[in-house]
Amino acid sequence: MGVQPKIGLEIHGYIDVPSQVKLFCNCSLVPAEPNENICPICTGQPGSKPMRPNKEALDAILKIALFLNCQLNTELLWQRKHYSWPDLPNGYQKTMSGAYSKPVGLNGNFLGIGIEEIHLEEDPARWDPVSGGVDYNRSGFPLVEIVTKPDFTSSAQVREWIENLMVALSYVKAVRRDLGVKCDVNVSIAPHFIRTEVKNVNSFSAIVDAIEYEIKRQQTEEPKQQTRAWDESSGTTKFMRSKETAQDYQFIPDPDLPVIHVTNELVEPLKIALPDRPDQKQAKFEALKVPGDVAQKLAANLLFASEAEKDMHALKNVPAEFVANRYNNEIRGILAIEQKDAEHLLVMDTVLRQLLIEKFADRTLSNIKFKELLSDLVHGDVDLIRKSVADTAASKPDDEALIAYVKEAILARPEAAVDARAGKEKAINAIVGYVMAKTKGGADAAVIQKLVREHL
Amino acid sequence: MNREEIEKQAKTIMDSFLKELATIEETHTFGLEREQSMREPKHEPSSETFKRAFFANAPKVKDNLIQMERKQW
Repeated sequence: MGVQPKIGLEIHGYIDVPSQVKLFCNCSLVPAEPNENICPICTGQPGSKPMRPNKEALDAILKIALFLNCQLNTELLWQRKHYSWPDLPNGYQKTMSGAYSKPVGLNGNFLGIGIEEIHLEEDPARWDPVSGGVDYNRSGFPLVEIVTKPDFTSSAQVREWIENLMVALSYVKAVRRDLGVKCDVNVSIAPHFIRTEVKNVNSFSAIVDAIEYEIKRQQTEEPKQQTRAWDESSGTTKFMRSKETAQDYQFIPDPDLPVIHVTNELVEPLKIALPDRPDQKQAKFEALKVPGDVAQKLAANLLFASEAEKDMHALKNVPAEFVANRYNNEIRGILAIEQKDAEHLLVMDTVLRQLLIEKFADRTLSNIKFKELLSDLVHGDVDLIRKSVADTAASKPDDEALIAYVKEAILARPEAAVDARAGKEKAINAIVGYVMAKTKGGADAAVIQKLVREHL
Repeated sequence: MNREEIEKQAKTIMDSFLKELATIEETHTFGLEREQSMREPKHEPSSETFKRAFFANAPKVKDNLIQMERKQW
């Protein structure tokens, strides 16, 4: 029996504020030279007081909490989380987490993983531990912290989930996906499930590597509750300290910041403007007769799901399941090959994409041709695609021509024909290949295969 | 004026003040409504005067970065 890990995440994402203004001051968040966007507040000068928090950041955090199905707290309290670190000018971080906290959202879920809590906080400055240099441009950037329940059981599951989460949160315009995530990973293994927290895990691949390393380490070392740091260069985790508790941070309510009352008037407009969650999208696909597993896979990526839904409604004569499978297979595959994110779907020509799916569905395009043109679509070669679709449709062999090619192939490949009659699949494929070459990929391989079997 | 008279006058003043104070309607509540507890963000350029003072007061600056301790523990 394999190792049974329990994995939980604390994910920090950068909140998308349209004004590009910091949480507690009006300094810009636009990238700039080091220490360009600073003021007495975000550099913690003696006597400075924070401005009231940025309204756009609160709207964004509420959207995240609603989208992740959380219960909302109606009174939000700012706290001071004290710790001494070179990147923290005040000596404390302003956060909605902590000992007396009321986080923005509680008890949510996303794609089958429980969400413990969601809260808003400020980012510290950027400190380079090697050079000792500190840049305060980032100090006061609004951050969301999403704490999951320890529901994950493998690193692969974590990676897929977190990628889908970030796609979804950038889609609802609440999180800046381009700025990446910072993650703390909690790992424990059976039978004791004594938790180790791994800090500084700042990329998707590092998350996977850190989890894999911890699972192996915990099998050989005595289990202890502790905090470790991920060391990217060595690919290992290193002991930092025994796990700190809430008392170590000396949380106190921040007297400079008022309690925020979350009212229905505030929440309802945000709720209405939210897109479907993955579970809602899945239900919609299933209502269009897409099988459950296909619908679930498609709904997990909100961008794929939204674009596929558009195509399903536009292509009335194409079964929704066919469209769903194109997204789950060919489109997903081409984007991976071309190393493009799901967002690339949004810059692709929608009409042409739908045309390709339609022509593939009515067998005007073969699977090979469909993939080839999808690749062209990713590169934006729209004129080339239009011409190619038109040429393929014009040169598409009719059934009679196709039968003639099949007969010709059987005569041209007599040895393959003998083997094919004996039931050898490779031989059938050789004959199919001959016909595909004759039709220059314009015919459908499955149709040819059927005709070959009929005429052997 | 002796001590007793001063205390008597002070009591009269305080009583009168407390009487007036009691007539004021209590308006304070704990916590503020959202419109008062949040702000509409408005971009403001950083003050060049502040930045000059900030860098001048820093113990050490290199490439516009404030030099703090290095990780040596």
